Amino acid sequence: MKFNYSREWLQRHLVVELDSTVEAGKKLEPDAAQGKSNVVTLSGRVSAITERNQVQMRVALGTLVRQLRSRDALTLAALAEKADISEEELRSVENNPTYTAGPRLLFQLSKFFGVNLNNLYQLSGETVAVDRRLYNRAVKYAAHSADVSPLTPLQRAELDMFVEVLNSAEAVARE
Amino acid sequence: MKSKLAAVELFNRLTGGFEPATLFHGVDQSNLDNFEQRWRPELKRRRDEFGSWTDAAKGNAQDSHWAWVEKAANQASYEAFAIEGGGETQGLMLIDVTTHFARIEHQKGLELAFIELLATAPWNRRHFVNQPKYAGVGTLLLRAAVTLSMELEFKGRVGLHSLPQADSWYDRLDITNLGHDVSESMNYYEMSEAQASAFLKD
Repeated sequence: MKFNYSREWLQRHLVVELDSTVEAGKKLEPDAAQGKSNVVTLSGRVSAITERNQVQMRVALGTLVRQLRSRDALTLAALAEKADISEEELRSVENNPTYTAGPRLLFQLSKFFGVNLNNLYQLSGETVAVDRRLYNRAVKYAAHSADVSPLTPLQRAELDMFVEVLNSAEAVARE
Repeated sequence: MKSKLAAVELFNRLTGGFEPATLFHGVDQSNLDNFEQRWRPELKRRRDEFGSWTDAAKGNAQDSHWAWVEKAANQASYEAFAIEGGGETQGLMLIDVTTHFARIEHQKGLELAFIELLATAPWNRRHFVNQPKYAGVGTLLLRAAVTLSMELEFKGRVGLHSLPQADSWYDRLDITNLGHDVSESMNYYEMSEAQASAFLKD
């Protein structure tokens, strides 16, 4: 195997690496490795949220925002401008499940896309408990929508169905 | 078998200059010892500062549990690479070239070089130390992965799971983000043949 590169090539890529983190690879999550239960039941439909649930909910939130943006043919910059939020925050919400979405961002997204704010809060992973039915729907939705290509008709249908769930779950919870 | 692949340079952020380093194909006991004695204690110390694995992303210490030694010892399954500079191991990478296949639609099912693990030494990491030392380790290791893929006639196809805090780097490198991989709870990235050619281009 031969390995060659020019100093110019390295310098060009260094500009990107200098303010980045580069690590890749499988993670070993201590909680999962120890076989702890993912969900601790509190009562009825409500469960305490664990670290794993939090990540899964945030993945669903990121997928939801990305697909709503795709549905409305908006770039990150365009949505940021129209919804009066920071592009960087928006990028983090879409791509980084360790990122905690702030209240203002969630409020603006709720207003812009017409999605129930309380349920967006639950998806952000910041609540201490989560509606199990919403959690299950969110995980299922994210699992079926885990790519970033343009929406297929089926994905569009699943997106519409999930938005409907988000906007009706609160009413169901009050029953 | 560890062999010298090339003389390379790393950028020392502290001095603002380039320093000589060496890229090796294969790792030996000195790399493993360096990892155990110098990397792992630092990773564990930083990991312990955070209450949860998710929070550990803030300290860039999520790979403290990676089973480097065991994996590297089983070299029949992996192609290993190391960058050494300043008397220490500055970066390590393990690539699986046998059990992973491409997922991007137009190259689906074709062989690729799958980066099982890619890591820089703790002291080179942003958010881990206040003043990270060397930059260039990730860039050079990724080039080595693409070069290996070319060598194996995989035409530069490379796949990997990015740690969440590294997503922006792979996004900016224009590698295809196939979104969250539920089986690994991480984003899966794949470099197409065209992207590989663009990445290597001067």
